[in-house]
Amino acid sequence: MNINTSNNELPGKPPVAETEMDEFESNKMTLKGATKNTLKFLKLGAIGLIAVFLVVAGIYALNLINQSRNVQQVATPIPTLVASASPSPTPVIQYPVEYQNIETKINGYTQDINAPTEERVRLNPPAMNLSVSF
Amino acid sequence: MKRYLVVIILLFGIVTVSDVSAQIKKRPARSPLPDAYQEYIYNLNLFYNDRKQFETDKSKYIAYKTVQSKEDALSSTVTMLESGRLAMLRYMDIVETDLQKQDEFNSRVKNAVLNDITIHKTFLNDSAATVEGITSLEQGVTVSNALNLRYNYLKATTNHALMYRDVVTAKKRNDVAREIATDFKNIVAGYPQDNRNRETVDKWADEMIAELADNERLLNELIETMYPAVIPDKRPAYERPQPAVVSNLTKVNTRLRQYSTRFTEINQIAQEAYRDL
Repeated sequence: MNINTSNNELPGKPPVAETEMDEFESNKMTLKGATKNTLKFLKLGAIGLIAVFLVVAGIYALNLINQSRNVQQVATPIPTLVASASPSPTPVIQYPVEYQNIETKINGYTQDINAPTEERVRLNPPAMNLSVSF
Repeated sequence: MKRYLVVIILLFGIVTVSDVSAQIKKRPARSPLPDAYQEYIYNLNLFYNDRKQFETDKSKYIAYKTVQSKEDALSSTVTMLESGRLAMLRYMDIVETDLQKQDEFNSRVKNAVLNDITIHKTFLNDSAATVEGITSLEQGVTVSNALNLRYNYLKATTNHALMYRDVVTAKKRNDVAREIATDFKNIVAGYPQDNRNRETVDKWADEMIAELADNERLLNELIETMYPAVIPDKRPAYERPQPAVVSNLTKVNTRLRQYSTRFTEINQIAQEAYRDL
């Protein structure tokens, strides 16, 4: 540091160098205090940020869980109330049990004929090229 | 203040972690082993990736002809052939399992196809050492030719296995259709002769039963010609069934699909016959 020690100083006044030193010391102290405060502030800020991060992460995790719960709930069929049909004007004919058995068989047959063919399709030979030439 | 903040964060963390772990515990456990089909698909995808790598290394070798590129080409040849061998083996597993589940419509043909599958599986198992022992590109070409030929045999066997499966399915449906037609005939058998709908149902049932018998004849003809002679290693096992005979199955399946509508129609006539009583 360049300290001015020339003879141009007025009598009764402390030397310029002494004043600047005091000023420097006081500034140093102030700076120290300020640094301490800044560090304190930064520490608190970091803790605050971590807390916010944890809160957000927790909310996100809970939200994900709730979403999966909702999906499961949607997947389960919800029983619905079916409005009772008004009585038919034509009398209902009760057919013998043989007719009911035939209808059951016809329904089963139709379902089987229209059943998906995925199981059969996945057995088809894969396309493979094993030939090697150089 | 700082202490309170730390305590709050810790408590929140504990609550969140315990809730998440509780949810994880609630989830149903995954099956430890993938099923045979998943294993086959996994191996097939590995093969496709290895095939791509082989093509890349082959191109580099052809372009630069360096020692390193030759080593890379050899290495990727061995890897590709090994994953191809495994994919074929897993494919044979699923075809074999499916065929074993099928009814004994024609046990001679079923056993012949199963026997062919065993032959392929033995060849593929034995090839493990051959593939592993490849030390030159020329050897790689020879082994790949053998595996490629086996793949073509294996495809032909699968065609037979699937044909057998389709015939069994058609036969089952044909049997159910015959049962329904016979039921209709039996229902109206006791109705008076002058019931106008009785005759329609009866006539329809007779025609239906005759057609169902024809279906069975067509299916039998198809399955019998699949393996013309059961002489091990002599029969033309690697040829596809003749197209003329394959058309039998198409014909039967078309008829079987139409029956669904015809059953509904005749059911209405049978109900009218009942109402006329």
